[in-house]
Amino acid sequence: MTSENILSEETLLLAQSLVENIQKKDKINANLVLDRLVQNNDNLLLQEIGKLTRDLHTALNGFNLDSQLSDLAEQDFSDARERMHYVISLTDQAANTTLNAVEQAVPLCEQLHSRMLEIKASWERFLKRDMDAEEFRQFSRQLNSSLQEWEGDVVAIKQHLNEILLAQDFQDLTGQVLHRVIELVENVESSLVGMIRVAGRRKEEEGEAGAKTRSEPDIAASGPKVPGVDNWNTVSGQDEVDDLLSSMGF
Amino acid sequence: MKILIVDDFSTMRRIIKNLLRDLGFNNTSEADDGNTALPMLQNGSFDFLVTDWNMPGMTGIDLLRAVRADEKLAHMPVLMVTAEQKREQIIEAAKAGVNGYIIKPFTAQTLKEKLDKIFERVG
Repeated sequence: MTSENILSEETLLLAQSLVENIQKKDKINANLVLDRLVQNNDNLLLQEIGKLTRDLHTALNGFNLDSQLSDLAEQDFSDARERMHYVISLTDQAANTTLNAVEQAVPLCEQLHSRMLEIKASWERFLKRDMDAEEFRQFSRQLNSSLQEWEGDVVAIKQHLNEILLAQDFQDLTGQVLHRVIELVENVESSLVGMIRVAGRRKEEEGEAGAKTRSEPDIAASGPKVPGVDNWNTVSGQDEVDDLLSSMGF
Repeated sequence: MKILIVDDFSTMRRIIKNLLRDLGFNNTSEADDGNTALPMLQNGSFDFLVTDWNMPGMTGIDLLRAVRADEKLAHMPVLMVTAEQKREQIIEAAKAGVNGYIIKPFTAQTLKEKLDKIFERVG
C-alpha cells in the first residue's frame, strides 16, 4: 500500500463516515465502515494508532518506573515527615524549657520584691528615727539574712535566664533541618517537571534523570542528625568528641 | 580580647555572644558566613574565632582552612561550634587545625571548659 492510498477520496469519506457513526453511537455502521477500511488493506491508520499506543504505554511505564520519583515517594517523603516531627519535638522542648525557667524565675522575683518592700518600709522608719534600739537590732538581723537570700535568688534567676538563652538554639537546629526539607521540596518539584517532560516528549529524556545518589559525602555539611532518619556514623555527645580529639593528640 | 563569632543563624550568634559576655569577653563581632568573616579577620586584629560549620557561601571548615593558610592568621585559635557530628568531620576539622570542637546543642559550661583549655594551651 502506498501513502497515496491513505490520502484518497474514498479513505476520507470512509473516515468521515466512521467519525459520524461513532458520534451517533451507531455501532453496527461504525463497525461496517471500519471493516471496509481494513478490508481495503489500508491499515496505515491502524499502524499509527498502534504506534501511539505503544508510545503511550512506554511513557506510562517510564512514569511509573522512574527511580527518582519512586525514591521521592518511598524514602524522601518519609524522611521529610520524620524531619518535620523532629522540628516539632525540638520546638516543643525549647518552649517547655523556656516556660519552666520563667515559672521558676518569676516566684523568685516576686519573693525578692516583697522582701525588698519590707526592708524599704523599715529603712524609711529608721531614716525618720522612728525605730527604737531593739527594733533596729531586729531590722539589722532581717537585713543581714535578706542580703544572703538575695544573693542566692539573683544567682538562681541568672541561671534561669541562661537556660532561656540556651533554649533559643532550637532556631538554628530546626532551621538547618528545615533547609533540608526545602531542598527535598525543590527536588520533588524538578522531578515532577521532569516527569511531565518525559510524558510530553515520548520519553526522549528517559534515563537522563538517573537516581540521585543518597549517600552523604563524608565531610559535607548536613545539619543536625535527625534521630530515626539519618544513619551517619556520628558521635553521641560532647564527651565522645573530646575522646576522639584526645585520641588524636588534642 | 577581640572575638569573631561566625554563624548563619543570628539567634545562635546572640547566644554565643551572651555566653561569652558572661565569661568576661565583651569585645565580640559577628559574621554570617566564611566569605564575610575572612576579610573581617584579615583587616580586624581579632584574637579568637568561633565558627559554625554548616553555612551557605563559605563553610566553617573552608574558613578554618583559609585562616590556617593565611600567614597573618595562621596561629589564631579557632573554636568550632556546630551541629555536624560525624566522626569524619571531627577528624577533618582536627586535621585542618581546629583548636576546639563543640557540638550543638551545648551548655555554657562546655563553652567555658573549651575556652579555658584553648587559652591554657595557647598561653
